[in-house]
Amino acid sequence: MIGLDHYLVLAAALFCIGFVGAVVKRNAIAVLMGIELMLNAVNLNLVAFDRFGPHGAPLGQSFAVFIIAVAAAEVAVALAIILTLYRRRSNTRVDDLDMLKW
Amino acid sequence: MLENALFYIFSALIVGCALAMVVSRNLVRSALFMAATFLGMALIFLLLHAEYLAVVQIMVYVGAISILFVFGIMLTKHDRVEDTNGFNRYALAAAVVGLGVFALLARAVVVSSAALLRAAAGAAAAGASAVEAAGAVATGSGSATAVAAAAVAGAAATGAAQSPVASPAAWNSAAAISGVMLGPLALPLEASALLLLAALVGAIVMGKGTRKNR
Repeated sequence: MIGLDHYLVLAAALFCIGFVGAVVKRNAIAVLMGIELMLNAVNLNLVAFDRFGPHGAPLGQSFAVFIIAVAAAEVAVALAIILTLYRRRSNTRVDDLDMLKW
Repeated sequence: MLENALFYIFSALIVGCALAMVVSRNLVRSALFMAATFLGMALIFLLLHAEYLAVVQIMVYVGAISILFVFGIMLTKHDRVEDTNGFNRYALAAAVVGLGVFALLARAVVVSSAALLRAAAGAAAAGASAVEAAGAVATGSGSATAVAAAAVAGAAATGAAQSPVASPAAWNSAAAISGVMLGPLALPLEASALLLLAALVGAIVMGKGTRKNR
């Protein structure tokens, strides 16, 4: 029988893969993909706790909907920032983006 | 039984696609594997009886965010698409740290769920024996409530541990979520609408660029 722990382990695996993807990549767009994967893992946790938790209103699923909305907003703004950076620096490598370094 | 097989198939799909997304050196392939991962997540949501969230996941993640990523890749010029997605010099260290964090999380989940199962089994056994004991001495009218209380306690202890919430056949996740969204969570819903508006305006202003850079 598939229980809560199976879903939690799957979410942990996804989160760690997303973390590694966000840390090791050189391209800013790929870093953003890793962050999306981490957000999705959190969604899976919320829905699993909602399913296996106590009865009542589906608060976990509602929180997941909010996270999806925030993730969509985040992607739109981040890609706009990346496009602007590309116009100025003509590449999207995160190693080169050290303008804020004093 | 079918649920078990489906869960393992979907998990293998998700983890494999996620790993391929991270490992791939081609940015376009990474985006496609990301879309496949999100699709697998929607299937897992269906297994969890979150039908509304599965549809939202497909519409927002697979339909909108993946396309947005593909546009972002298209609008930034790359000389050779085969080598657009390289690793930096922290690749090995990050892989080690990621594996370590996963091992810790998985161990915590397995240990705590085993402890929870043990506690639930003990509580259920205690509740059952309490039911029997109370039933054996049940002669007066007062002990009936004790029997009921013990039975409720035992049932609650077993239910809290592992078994999913028994969803009735006519369970409608969209209706339940809308009841929460327009009830106790109405204010956060409005706040998220404001956030989306601000993100829309910000993305347009930033993406449009200054007159000099256009």
